[in-house]
Order: sequence, then C-alpha cells, then structure tokens
Amino acid sequence: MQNLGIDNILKSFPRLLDGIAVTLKISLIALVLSIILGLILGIAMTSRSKVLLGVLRTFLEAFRLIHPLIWLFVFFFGSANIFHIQIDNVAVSILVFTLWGAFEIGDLVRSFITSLPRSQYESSMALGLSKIQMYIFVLLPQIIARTTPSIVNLATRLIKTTTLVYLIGVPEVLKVSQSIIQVTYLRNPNSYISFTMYLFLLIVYFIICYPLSLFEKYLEKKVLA
Amino acid sequence: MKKLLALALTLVLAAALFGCASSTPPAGASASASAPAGGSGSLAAIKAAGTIRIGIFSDDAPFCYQDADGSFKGYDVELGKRVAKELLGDESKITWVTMNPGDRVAYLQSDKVDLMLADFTVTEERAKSVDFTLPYEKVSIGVVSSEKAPINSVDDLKGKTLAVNTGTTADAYFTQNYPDVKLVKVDAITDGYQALTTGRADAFAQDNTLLLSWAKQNPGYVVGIDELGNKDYIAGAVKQGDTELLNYVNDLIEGKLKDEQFFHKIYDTTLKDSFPEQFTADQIVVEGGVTQ
Repeated sequence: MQNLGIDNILKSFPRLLDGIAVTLKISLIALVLSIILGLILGIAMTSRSKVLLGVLRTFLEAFRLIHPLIWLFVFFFGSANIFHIQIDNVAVSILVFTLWGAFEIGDLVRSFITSLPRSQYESSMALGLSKIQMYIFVLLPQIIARTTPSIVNLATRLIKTTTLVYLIGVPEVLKVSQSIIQVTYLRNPNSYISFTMYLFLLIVYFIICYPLSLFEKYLEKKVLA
Repeated sequence: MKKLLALALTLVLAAALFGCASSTPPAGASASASAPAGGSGSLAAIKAAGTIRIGIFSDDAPFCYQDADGSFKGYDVELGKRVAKELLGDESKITWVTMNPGDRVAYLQSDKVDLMLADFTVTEERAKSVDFTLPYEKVSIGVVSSEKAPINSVDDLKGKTLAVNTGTTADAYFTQNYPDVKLVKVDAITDGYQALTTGRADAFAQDNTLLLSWAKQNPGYVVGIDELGNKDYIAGAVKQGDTELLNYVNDLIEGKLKDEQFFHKIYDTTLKDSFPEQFTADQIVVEGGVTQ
C-alpha cells in the first residue's frame, strides 16, 4: 500500500487540483473565446473579398497544419525576443488555443453556411430582412444547432491538447504529477508511484472528457432527428 | 458591408489578443513570468517588482526540486533564497520559474528570468549567450547503468543506447566526441531515469553528482563512469549585459558567503545524505568562486 504512493498523492492533492484547475481554465476560456471568434471568422470566410479570403485562408491553414506546440513557443519566446513584451505563459496558452479553436470552428461555420440552400437567403430577402437580421434570426440558430456537436468534440480535444503547455512552464496537471513522481522516488525508490499517478491522471481525464463525449453523441442525435 | 466586416474582424482579433495578454492573472507564483515594470534585470527593477524571478528545475533532486507540498528545495534553491534575502530582505520574495534543461538559455535571453540557478553548467558555448556568475559547484559527466549490464567505460557503450537530456553538457559531449553512440534524447530529467529503468536505454548520462545521488537511492543501478570529460563548474547566470545583478551575486559569493562557508553549510543540509559515504563536501562544493 505504502509503495503505491497514495499518501503522497493525497499530500499533494491541493497541487493536483490546482493543476486540473489550470488545465480547465485554459481550455474553458479558449473555448468560449474561440466560439465567439469562430462564428465571426466563419461568416467572414464566406465573404467575396479575395483579399480577406486569402488572409483568412492562410491563417486557417497555418493554425491547422502547424502544431500548437510550435505556436506556443513562437508566441512565448517570439513576443519577448522580437517585441520585448512579456506575456504570461498562461495567457500565451489561452491565446494559442483560442486562435487554434477559432479557425477550426470558423471553418465549420463556413462550410455549413455555404451548404445552405440558396432559397434561405432569397426567402429572407423576400421577407424584407436586412443582411444582419438574416444572420441573427435565420442563419445563426441553424449554425448553432449544427456546429454544437463539433464544438463539444473540439472541447475534448482542447482539454487533452493543453497538456502541451507544461513545455512553456505552466504547472498544469501533467507537470505537477511528474514533479510528484520524482519527489516520491527520491524518498522511496521502490515506489510504484508512476503507475498510480498516471492511473490517477487517466481517471481524471476520463471523468472530464467522457461526459463531454456523451453530450456530443446526445447532441448529434438531437440535431439529426 | 465587406469592409465593415473586415474592420470588425480586425478589431475583434486585436481585442482578443490584447485582452488575453493583459487580463489574465498569473496562475500561481511558480508559473508567472511577467516582467517587472520599467525594464527588467537591473537591481532597481527587481526591487521595484518586489520579487526576483529565478529559473529552476522542478525535478532535479537534490539540487533543485519541488517537494510534494509544492515547496522548492535543494542546494541551488538555498542559494536562490539567500540571494533574495540579501537583495529584498525576505527569502520568500522569489518567483520560481520552472523549465526544462534545453530552455534555460532561451529563458534568460528573452528576459523571462532574472537569475538562472537551474544546475547550469558553465560552457564556452553558453558563455557566448549568457553571463555566468562565479561557480558554486563542481561537476563532470557521469553514466549510470544497471548493475547487471554495467557500463564502465565509453567503449562499453558501443552498440548500446544512451539516454541524455537535450541541451545538457552530456548531450554535447557525446554528440561531439562519440558520434557513433546511439543517443536517446529526452527532455525532462525524470524521463532519462525512466528510459533507463524501463530498458529503453542501456545507460543514462547526466551530471555525475546527480547520478551518484540517484544510484544511492536506487539499488541495482551503478554509476560505472563517474568522471568523464573535463571537470565542469555549475554557476548562476544572468542575461548578457546585466552586470548589476551579476556583480551583486559575485560580491555575495566572494564576500559574505565565503566568510560563513555558506556552500559547505548547505551541502550538509541538502546534499550530504544523497551521496555515498566516502564523498566529501570538497568534491562538490566550490566556496568563494575559487576553482582550484
């Protein structure tokens, strides 16, 4: 029992909770911001302006094809080296994951809008709705209903991907766990702490992500029904 | 309409960027790396900020590590606390910034820490990018392996895999001098031990001090090579050109700390228990920055 290192996990439980809180904070703030930004980006991506489209397309591909880890380093060290501004590492994480999420959601919204039958626009015009009214009253409710399952899916991916932020020094739950493993080995080399700790992490991630996954399935059924 | 939309979009993006940058509170003292107001590095700026940002490892026991309760401990940490006490009058006025070994130069260069005390070996290469303080510890490269298949000389490494931490002196030494040794490069120090214990690597090369203490705690493993390459020194480091802080720390090491044999004292409290019996403080400790 002693060798499982449960005593150490209990002792450092407040730190683990802090780590989980950091993980959730980054994911949640990034998600909310990327939904708002993603909606706007998605609508903008249906624009007919070639310049705007070109710029957005470039950013979309950049954030999709280049790994978030590289963006984390670029923003974390780049902001300091080139612009001499120190951005807090949690803020950098939120920024990178927001942009990543926003372009993902933006592309979902864009593909949904372009797939809508032409008649919807024409009927809206015929009803005398302005373009903004059309977006708010006709398109937005459909966009929200259709993209929500994918957004929930993005949320689980976001939570999992935030483990990367420990590489720029954010004490999220994985990094805290590793530090606990190391200090336990220092006192008791025969400990099975790495097994116990990673099992604990597995359970934590499952508890957070499984309800989201169920929620996504439920939503998908509802939307398709 | 399109132009309006583009404008609105730009504004929102900008707002999101700056909103993120300014409104997020730092998450815990060990993480925040925000600069003090009015330029960083100079003593006045550190005093104005009321805290000194010290770069440290969270998994380099017994030199610098985070205990289960989250507090920082170890030989390097004791020096950091002392510097903070002398400079700011309180050894708790420290913002610990944790990182991986390969990022130490980048953290200094990009002004994310004032003083680096993360088991930092002095090398010519690094001295081009950062300014080192007087040394406070000696070290050479060691290689730890299993007792069953011990690696007692570099020749034993032929055809074997060796784990090293990216960007450490061991990494540079083997890459330059023994390019035919198969290297497994890992980031965290913990991962190096894990590579060895799980058999992904036949041996792990790191500072001998670190490995000796680890092998003492872990029966079945032996430091077959305990001094490889040149004798190196561990020192603090500051951003290049930050002479104010550099001189301050050097004066402290040469003066007050030497007089009270500070490093011998913290050897006794932090390191002694981790090393084999026959080891003496003078094999590790550098007092007063004197290297002979």
